[in-house]
Amino acid sequence: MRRITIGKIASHLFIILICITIIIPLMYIVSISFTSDSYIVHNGYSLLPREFNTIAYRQAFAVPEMLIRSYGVTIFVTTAGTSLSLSMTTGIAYVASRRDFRYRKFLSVFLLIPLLFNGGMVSQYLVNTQLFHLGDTIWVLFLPYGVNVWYAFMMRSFMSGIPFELIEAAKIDGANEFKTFFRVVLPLCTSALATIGLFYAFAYWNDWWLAMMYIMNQKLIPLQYMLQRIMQNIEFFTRMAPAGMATTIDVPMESLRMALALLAAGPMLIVFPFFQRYFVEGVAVGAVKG
Amino acid sequence: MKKTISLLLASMLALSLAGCGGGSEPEASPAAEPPVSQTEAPAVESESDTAAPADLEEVTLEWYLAIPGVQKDADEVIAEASRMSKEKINANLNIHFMDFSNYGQQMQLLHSSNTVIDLMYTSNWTNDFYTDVSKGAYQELDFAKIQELAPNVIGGVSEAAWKAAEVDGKLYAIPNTQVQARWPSIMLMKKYVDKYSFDTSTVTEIQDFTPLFKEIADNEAGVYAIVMSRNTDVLGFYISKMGYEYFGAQNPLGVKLGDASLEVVNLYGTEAMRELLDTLREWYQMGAIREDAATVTDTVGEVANGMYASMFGVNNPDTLVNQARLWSVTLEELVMVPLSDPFLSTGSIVATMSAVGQNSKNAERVYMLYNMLYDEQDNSLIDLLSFGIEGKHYNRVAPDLIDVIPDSGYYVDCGWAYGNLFNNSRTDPTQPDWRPLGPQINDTAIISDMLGFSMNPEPIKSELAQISSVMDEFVPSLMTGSVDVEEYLAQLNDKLEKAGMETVRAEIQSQLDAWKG
Repeated sequence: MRRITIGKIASHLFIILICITIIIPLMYIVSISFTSDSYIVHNGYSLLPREFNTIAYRQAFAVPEMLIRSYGVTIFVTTAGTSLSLSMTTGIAYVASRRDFRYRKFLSVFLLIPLLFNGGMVSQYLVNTQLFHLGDTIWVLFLPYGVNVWYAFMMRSFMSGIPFELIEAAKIDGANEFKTFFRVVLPLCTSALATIGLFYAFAYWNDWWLAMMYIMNQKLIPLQYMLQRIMQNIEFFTRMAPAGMATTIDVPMESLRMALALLAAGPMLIVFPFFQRYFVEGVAVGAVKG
Repeated sequence: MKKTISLLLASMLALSLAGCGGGSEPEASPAAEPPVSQTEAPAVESESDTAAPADLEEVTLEWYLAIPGVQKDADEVIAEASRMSKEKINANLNIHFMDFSNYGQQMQLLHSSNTVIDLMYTSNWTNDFYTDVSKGAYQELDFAKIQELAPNVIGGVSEAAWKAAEVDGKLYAIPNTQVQARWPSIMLMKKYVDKYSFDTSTVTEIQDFTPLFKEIADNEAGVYAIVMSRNTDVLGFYISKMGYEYFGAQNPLGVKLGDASLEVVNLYGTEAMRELLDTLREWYQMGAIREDAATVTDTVGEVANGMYASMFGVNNPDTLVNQARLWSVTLEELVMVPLSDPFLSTGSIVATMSAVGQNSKNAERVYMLYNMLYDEQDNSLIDLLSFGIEGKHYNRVAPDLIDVIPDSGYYVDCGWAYGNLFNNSRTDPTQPDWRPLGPQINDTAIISDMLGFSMNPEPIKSELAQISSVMDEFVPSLMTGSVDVEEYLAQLNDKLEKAGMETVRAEIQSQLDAWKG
């Protein structure tokens, strides 16, 4: 029988409160997406759908090509981007974490510089479009985010925690550098890999900025950018239409916007619990025996 | 509503597949087609009142254009437009359609990377005209050449409009033509006008609406008398009725209409402003304006569902048709009550123009293209850009009337972004003809005494930024009537003073004096 202390109750209450603040907006989104617009206007929002109306989803899927293609773009960018980022990040972090690497300090400072300063949007744009000719290609949607220096530092400090003796032992057993990295070091980093991988995956999944900057080709529009521009167009419209700038842009109704938001967020909501397993597992793997 | 839904889908969701094939088509053609153009060209020579295509070297015009949403069949339309312009002026068109939402941003990047741009949309609200001119992103246009190569443009653009497209006496853009003058009005749902036997003919001031709004507020449950949100630009509609003109919504300063000395004053210190704010406050207090108006930003859904009885607007020939769609009513159910004469300012012209990129070598061909877009007799090109391909995206009902096919994959209808809107066909039989109404409004408008003046914000940048944040803090609540006028107006003026309004006033005054000469 566990003892129930006031502290325990307080901490549980606190966590429950946080959960509620996260869940309630989500429930609203679900509820609105299943409610017709006229119902919303006349009766306001409600936490639980008081009518069940799938019109928003039927609209979203009425012409599914674009939605499916955007999903495809986003999924490709997320998987390709995450694998690329993870391999580059672990590579840099591993080298920077090795105590016997002569230029370790230099490498750290070298990594630190772009964390503090950057060339700004225009120079980035020029480099990506003029030098690398990435403009309006699928590559531009993930290559510029290749390594996040923060994550590289996180990874480095995690890898620094791996006893150097393990690496030496591997060396004595005859493993070369690559083997040491892949067979000894990486397996010890699963929890860090899962965590940072998830960060990367979220970043790629949720990104619309790169698309806004570089993409004009309609078939390369990722999901989040599709949503972003719908919202932007609505804002444009509400400001311009009364001023007599005759335009007949059609505004998606509230329920459709929420349905699209759910469709965009959905896959990540499902993926996340699977990753969570690794978080817990990963903690145990880190233990070292001499 | 059904139409709204379907069009929305067509425009927002349906784009992607069709987007794949066509983008490269116009680019690929220059190499492949020259022999064809040589043989075709003489045939159309007689139609064209400008230079003969045969004498013209084949070029490809890179045209960057902002349109609302995504069009599934955009590539087909671009190819067709390119074919038309190639036939007449031997210029292929490579049109880059972009969303309004990211147009300004992407254009800035294109300018900074020195991309060749032959023709682009420019305005004071996206891809800012004055910023780009001062950066040297646009080339100076040759008015004599335009007169020679584009007589239709000369005929279509009002004289006043050319002045607005100038900076320091040099022409940098071709104005697109629409109803440029703003005609401050209030649009009402007719059923309330009838129900409360309100006589719209006697209205001269907005105060005259107060009795009607009171009736609506008292007797119509769930209906607000007037659309009012954080985004409602009340001054934008009302300022000329107040007898002033201003330098933009985020700037508290203005000039009295008809004041030849062009004295810059603080609008928020004037009697007229006080009257307006008091009226809005009165409306708010009697429940004509929604309680949370100062924070609400999106009223589209509510408008469509009949939660409002009226709104601020402008009285253009097509306003009622467009609004009727948004309000989910028929045109006959709406009535427009103009409050004063139409007013033409620099801003309303600069809002819709086209410029030629500084590194373009095809300015003359652009003039010729614009000649086509301004052609009153043959509006096929501008109708193509607005409504797509006949038989596929619309059916022609009468020479100047079309019937849009819903969900067909192309519907832009922004004639003001690429030529003369008045040349577009009408989309609804109840819509009045563009001519002579449209040009008439422009011609009879009161013309701003500052027409052609543009403020240079550079020397007062930091003050303007501070003032702008003060305005953001106070103006939405004042303009929606949400707060006590006396108290907050005093606070606003006090903060404006502290933010450096006097410096700004003096600077603008000296710029105006210098401009006046």
